[in-house]
Amino acid sequence: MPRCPRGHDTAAADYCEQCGSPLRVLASPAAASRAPAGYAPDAAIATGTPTGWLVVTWANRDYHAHMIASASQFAELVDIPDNYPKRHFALNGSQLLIGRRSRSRGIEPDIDLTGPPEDPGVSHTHALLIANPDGCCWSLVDVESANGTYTYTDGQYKRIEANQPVPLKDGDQIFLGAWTTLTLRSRSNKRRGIPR
Amino acid sequence: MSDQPTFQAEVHQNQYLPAGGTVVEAVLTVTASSADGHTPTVGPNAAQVIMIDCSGSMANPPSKLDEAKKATITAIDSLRDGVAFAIIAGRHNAGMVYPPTAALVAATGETRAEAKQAVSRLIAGGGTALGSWLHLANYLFAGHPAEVKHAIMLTDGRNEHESLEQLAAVLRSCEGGFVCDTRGVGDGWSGTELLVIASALLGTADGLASPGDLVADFRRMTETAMGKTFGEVTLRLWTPAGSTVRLVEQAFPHLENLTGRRTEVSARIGDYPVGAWGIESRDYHLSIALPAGAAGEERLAARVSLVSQDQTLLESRVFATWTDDHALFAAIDPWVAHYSGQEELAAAIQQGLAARDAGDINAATAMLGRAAQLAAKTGREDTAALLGRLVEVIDVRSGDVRLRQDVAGVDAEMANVRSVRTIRITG
Repeated sequence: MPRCPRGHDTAAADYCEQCGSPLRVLASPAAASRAPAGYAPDAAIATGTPTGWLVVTWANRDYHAHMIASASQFAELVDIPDNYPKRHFALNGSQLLIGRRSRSRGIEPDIDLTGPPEDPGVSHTHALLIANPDGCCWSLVDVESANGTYTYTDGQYKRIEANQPVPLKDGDQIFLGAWTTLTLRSRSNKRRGIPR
Repeated sequence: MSDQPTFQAEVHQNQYLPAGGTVVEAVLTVTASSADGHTPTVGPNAAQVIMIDCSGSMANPPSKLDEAKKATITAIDSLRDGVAFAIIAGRHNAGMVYPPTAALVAATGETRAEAKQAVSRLIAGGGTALGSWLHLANYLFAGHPAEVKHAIMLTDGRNEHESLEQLAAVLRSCEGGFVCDTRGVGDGWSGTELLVIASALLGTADGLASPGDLVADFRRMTETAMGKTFGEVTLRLWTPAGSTVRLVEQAFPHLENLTGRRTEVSARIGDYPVGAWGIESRDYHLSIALPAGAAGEERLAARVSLVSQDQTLLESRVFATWTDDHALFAAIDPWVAHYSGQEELAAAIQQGLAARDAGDINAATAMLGRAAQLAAKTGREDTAALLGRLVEVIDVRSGDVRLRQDVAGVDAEMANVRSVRTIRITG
């Protein structure tokens, strides 16, 4: 029987049937061993990693339509979910893996996009968020994902080169799979808009 | 049994809470539709009892009883073949009109004709004891296998020949046994009594301005009842450990607070009765207090499902995410805001009328003024018109009103009985 982050046994697969905590947090033992889900502890400053950042993941109709229009082989086969509650991942540490959990291969991503609803176009090891050496921002690296990682610049979706870091700033979006979109956000910047 | 309707749910909420915040509010819209666009028919799996007021006042004017008879005959004609039915004459006690013995009979050409004959011979005389009518209806429905059990109660007067306690006791015994729509005709009925009965028995209450409106209304009520495909539906609510259910209320098409009608299923799950369902759409307003969370934390705040005889018709979820971002948690969901306004409007009308009855002019003026202000603000022209018969509006924007002196009693009852009606958010 699965166990939730607060230690309850639960028969439900998505949220703990005792306390309502999301069960996917358990996907990563690394994540579970860290401080309870939340923002980075202040101690992180000492290690030179950026603090107060998070990514919000959501299902993006516009990107899904773009993938279908660009004749992506898999996007047509994948329906965008009607109900995809936004997920929040605090960026704790200096390097975080974006992907989907695989028990058999021992892959436990920090930003685990395992569903439901699940985007099958996301690779188990898809991309990395790496803290910049100056400790104030993040870079994105596609780690040879099957379907690529995209950013949006000059009004266009652009597939980034594998294994080449792309600097990101607050509010930037990362597109992967058939409809998955990650919005990078800094807690310290109060002037950002609301991610949709 | 023909094909069942399909249920769809939509949750309207702002799931973001400030760090340390506890209250999650949501509006759940539930819509049942048929796959082929036709109204599914329940066939003989329904039963209907009509309680027709035959007290002495129904003869004054004579058109009241005449129209009530016509309306009952129309309702009999609207019954599908095979539907079990009975007609009760309501006075200071309840008597069978048709069939002559206390039982339900299946609608056929023959039984319909006999029933209409019996109704046309009714005469007015006697008093009014609404509880005794309901008691007989409950006896008729009890043990009958029909899944959809529906009653219509028509009265022109107040419940004068029994105590409120007697009526309350009968209502408790009837709860869950059948759905009852209540209607007032003429100018002697009590809006509060109609609402209390309809609320306990999960039906609708209304007053009819003219006896001539009865025929169309009886036909509509009967057709609606015949269109129900699920008799006893419950709203099942799961909430996390340490939470409190603050509100479970039907918010559309009329307000019905279900919070106190919870039946525990397990420690985390409770059932709330929502009556019969057909091809229709309703909204529910939920408010749940959770244990406070820290920024970045997320929880499932509620699982909501509709259940009919262990069949889950739909399931939906309400979420909570705590954040430090003011732009996220400060937004109020427009549906939640809309129904909060409708609830305040209904409360202002009911409290204003109660204060008026108690002779508290200041409180009545303040509450009815607030009601007039809210009705105007939320585009409730129907409510504004009803209030306009009770108060003279001096400045609608500030809610400044003066109580009218020459108010017909039925206008206050009408404003009361219709106070629970709501509209959906527009635009």
